[in-house]
Amino acid sequence: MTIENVTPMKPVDTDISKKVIIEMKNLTKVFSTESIETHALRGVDLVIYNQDYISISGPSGCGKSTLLSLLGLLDSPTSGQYFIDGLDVSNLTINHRAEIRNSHIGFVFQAFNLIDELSVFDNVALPLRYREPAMSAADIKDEVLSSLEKVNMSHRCDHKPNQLSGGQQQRIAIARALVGSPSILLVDEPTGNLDSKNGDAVMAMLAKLNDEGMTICMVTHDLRYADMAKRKLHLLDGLIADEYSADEFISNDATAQEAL
Amino acid sequence: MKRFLRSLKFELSLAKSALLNVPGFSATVIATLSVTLGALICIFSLNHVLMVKSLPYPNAENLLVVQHAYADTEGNSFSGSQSAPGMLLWYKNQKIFEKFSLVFDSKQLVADHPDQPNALIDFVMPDYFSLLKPEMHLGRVLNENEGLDTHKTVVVLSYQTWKKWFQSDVNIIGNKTMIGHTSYTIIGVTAKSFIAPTNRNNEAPDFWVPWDHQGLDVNNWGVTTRALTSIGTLKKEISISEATSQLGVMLNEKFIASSAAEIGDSATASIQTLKEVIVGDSTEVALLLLSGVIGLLLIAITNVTNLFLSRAAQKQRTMAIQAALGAKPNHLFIAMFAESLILTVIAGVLGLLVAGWGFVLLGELAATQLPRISELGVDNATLLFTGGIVILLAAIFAKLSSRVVKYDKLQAQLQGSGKGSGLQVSKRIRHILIAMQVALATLLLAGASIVIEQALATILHPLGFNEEDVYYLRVDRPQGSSYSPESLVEMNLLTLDIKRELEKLPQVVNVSRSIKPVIYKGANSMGLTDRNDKRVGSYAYNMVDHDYFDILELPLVQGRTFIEQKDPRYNINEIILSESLARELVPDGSAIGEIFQLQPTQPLKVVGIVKDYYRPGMAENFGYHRYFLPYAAFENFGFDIKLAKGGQLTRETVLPLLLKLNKKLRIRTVISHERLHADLIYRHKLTAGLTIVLGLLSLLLAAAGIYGVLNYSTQMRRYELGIHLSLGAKTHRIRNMVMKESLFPVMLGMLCSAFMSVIIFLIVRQQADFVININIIGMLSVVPIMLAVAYVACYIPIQAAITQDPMKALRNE
Ligand SMILES: Nc1ncnc2c1ncn2[C@@H]1O[C@H](COP(=O)(O)OP(=O)(O)OP(=O)(O)O)[C@@H](O)[C@H]1O
Ligand SMILES: [Mg+2]
Repeated sequence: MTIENVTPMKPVDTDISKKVIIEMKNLTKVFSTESIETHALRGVDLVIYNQDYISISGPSGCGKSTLLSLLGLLDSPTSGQYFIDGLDVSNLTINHRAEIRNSHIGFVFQAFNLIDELSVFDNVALPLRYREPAMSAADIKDEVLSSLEKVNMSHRCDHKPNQLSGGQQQRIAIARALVGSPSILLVDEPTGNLDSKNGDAVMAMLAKLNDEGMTICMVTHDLRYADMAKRKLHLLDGLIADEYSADEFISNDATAQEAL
Repeated sequence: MKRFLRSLKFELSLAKSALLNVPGFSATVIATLSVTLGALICIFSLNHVLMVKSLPYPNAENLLVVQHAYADTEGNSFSGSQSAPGMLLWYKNQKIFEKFSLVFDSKQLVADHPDQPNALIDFVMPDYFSLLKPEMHLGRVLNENEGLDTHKTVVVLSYQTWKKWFQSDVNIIGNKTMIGHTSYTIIGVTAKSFIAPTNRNNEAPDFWVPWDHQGLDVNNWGVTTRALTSIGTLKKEISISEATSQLGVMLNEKFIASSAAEIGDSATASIQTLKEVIVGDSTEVALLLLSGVIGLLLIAITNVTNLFLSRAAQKQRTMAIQAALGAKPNHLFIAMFAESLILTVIAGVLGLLVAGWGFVLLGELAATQLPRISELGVDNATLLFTGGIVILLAAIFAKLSSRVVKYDKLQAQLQGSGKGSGLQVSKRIRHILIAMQVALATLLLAGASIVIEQALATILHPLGFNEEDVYYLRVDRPQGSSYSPESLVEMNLLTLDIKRELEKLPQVVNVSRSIKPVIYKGANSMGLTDRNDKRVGSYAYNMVDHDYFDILELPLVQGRTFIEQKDPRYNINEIILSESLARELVPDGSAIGEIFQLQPTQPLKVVGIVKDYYRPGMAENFGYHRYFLPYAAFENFGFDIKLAKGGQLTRETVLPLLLKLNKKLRIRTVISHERLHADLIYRHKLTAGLTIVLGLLSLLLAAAGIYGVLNYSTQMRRYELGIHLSLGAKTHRIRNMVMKESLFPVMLGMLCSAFMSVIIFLIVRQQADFVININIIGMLSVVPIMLAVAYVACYIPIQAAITQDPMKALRNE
């Protein structure tokens, strides 16, 4: 709705005037099992600005999901530094990380990850229940309904997730990610469990949200969808290999083959 | 805290719908816990009533009972048995009690009731009521003008008496009723809520009448009885120790001067609270029961913990989602707690119902075995306890199951297509759970086997006399008969007449007279001295006639029975000893011909030695010491009647015979010896029965627990087993492999229980006065039972997993 916000597209790293939301410096992640160490991330540097729309792609096992779970504070890095809104979050307590996830980050997963026992309304309300200080029931209701309206699902409040189609479930999941007004939306393979029609609808919705000012970071195999992002990161073997902004579109066939 | 409650409220609504989705889990948890909590609440209540709760009277803590305590020169002492002159001495001369009443209870017949029921009468003084302050349903209690030496013939009924024998007649006040040989005017009925103090047999009185009718020998210091006691409150400025010493001095002075005391004997006062007197040593039984149900509870907790661990594994994805959305570990605990709380609260409510049923059962089965059973019920303490245990259990289950969920590993659940990798409760935890269950159950069973064995020893112990077809008839002496020598002759003649009349009955084979049944609850003993007036001890006795040993088929080991006394003037100059007593009194050589005395100047010559017989419940060493004297019509009349095989004797057949001889005769009881025996072993049967139930329950719980753990772990291994099978492994090889693994913790548990048994045994042996004969064979018999149950519990889930089509397991269907 806010047309003014849509700025002409430029290579992002040159636009210093934008506010930095996330900054990662030389981040690594090593998984150690009894016999082997897997270096999933090997020194990632990444800056995410307000209103960015980033896609991360790369071959299977290159570390996409690992990067996203570090971004979402679901996991902690082995080394390196990580800032959200200027706050160093690399070494926070479990509880503090939970609070930041709750207030700064919205998740959308490939498998939707809605709770089957809860109604649509309660699923969307869930992040607000963990808010501190606690919100009043009336406030929760307002937020949930306006969030459901954004994804055009407010008429399905009382349904259970398993009474909805996959596309509808993913829209509910997006509403849940939005409800707490997060600083950034982290999206992992949002179309992986959807057919192309529903997938297109979900992608359109993300684009619209970004137009409205939401910062989005998305992992996807699908190059068609990756191209919808303003910044395209290519991850290879635990490192960010290339970065393209939307206006200097270069097709990389080799990568596309591998990813598919 | 507020935040906690707020999130709990939300999580409860979530948990409710979540639990409805897993009805099997919910039902199993609720069933296991409600039965266990029911038993626990019931036994807790019993312990609370016996040990903590005040008696239901105003000022209950200050209600005291003062009794006699005697000691002799040999260091023997006994207490709790009082003489009438001793008690009256205190009543008349004491200045330390604020209020004081003597209390005597005895059984008498309600003579004008068509059934002539046997009622318990309390003979009391007006202060009895001003101390206990019963609420009245009708009328009034005794007043100040109905105290000592007023001889008023008034009676107060208990509510239950009024209901069962007087048809709840609302116009009953002023009516008369005949109790024993006295006609009393009914002046009051106590309220339904009034719980009267019970006597030493846990019986509540049916009637209260003024003290003067008690009929005790108020001048004889030598006759003491446990039925005579007192109740009172001290004046404010008097301490218990002061009162004890004052009353003791007062008693001792008169006692020593009496003919009942020997040189060196002494008497003192002993003051206890009414509560101590009523509760007595029953707390031991209550504590034993409590330790049993706590064992049961531990097994149940292990079971339910296992169920919750599987549940936590199931819930992982939900928890991962919650964590991603900002739920802290604490939130996840609350979520688990909400689920466990719902289940434990439901189980608690059901447990209260089970306990309520348990109270009724205890009332039916154990009202005369344990005191204060009538006070059991769901009261504030019970509710508080239930509430506390319910929350505690919920917290334990939530804590244990949220501990196995690794918060920081949860995110793995969210990636990919959403199947996630199921959390596996580690093998170590599973083994610990199984071992714990086996150990607890084995320990409980071993304990149960000891209890059952001791009860069986009493139940199955041969009596040593013939109880078959032998009845005991007890007849009240006619009213107004005295104990003067002339009267005794007359009574002796009367008993001979009764004996002759009874022998005329077609079913009667033989009749003997005796003053007491062969076996009965309690014991009466009387002291003996040797020919030099030296006291040799006090032993159980009976007075019997020449036919007695014949009828009971009690063989004489030496000597002869008493000579048939044709002369009604009684003449007590012979004595027959039991084999054990003879051995005790004359360790070397034969006791025949020895002289003993009841009192100086009454020599008794030993004419026979009779085989010992067993009275159930009596200690082995002392219980066989008995002596017999020739029959004389002291006390009430008793007859041992040998019937023809399968014969019956009823009140209706006997009463006309008696009334023909004397209109004033009343039948107290007609009872078979088999019945007397059954009454004596009832408590032991009850104990054995309850213990067997407890043992079976713990076996069942343990089996269910082992099954649950292994069922879960084999489910988890289905995939692995499926691969083995698809590669061509034979089912029996796989079964053997898995059985070996599963039975390992069972063995471990057995070892633990053996270890714990030894420790408990060592601790218990420290208690100086604790004598217990542990039958190792009996305890070892628990092992195969436990093994068999564990084997079946292991076998079923494994068999189910390996006999299916391997493809099913691989597809994870
Ligand atoms: N929990 C873990 N323990 C050990 N190694 C892990 C773990 N999670 C991921 N890895 C390893 O880290 C590397 C990166 O995994 P990641 O899941 O991030 O890949 P991805 O790019 O998301 O792949 P895909 O496109 O297949 O989802 C892989 O080599 C993987 O084997
Ligand atoms: Mg991935």
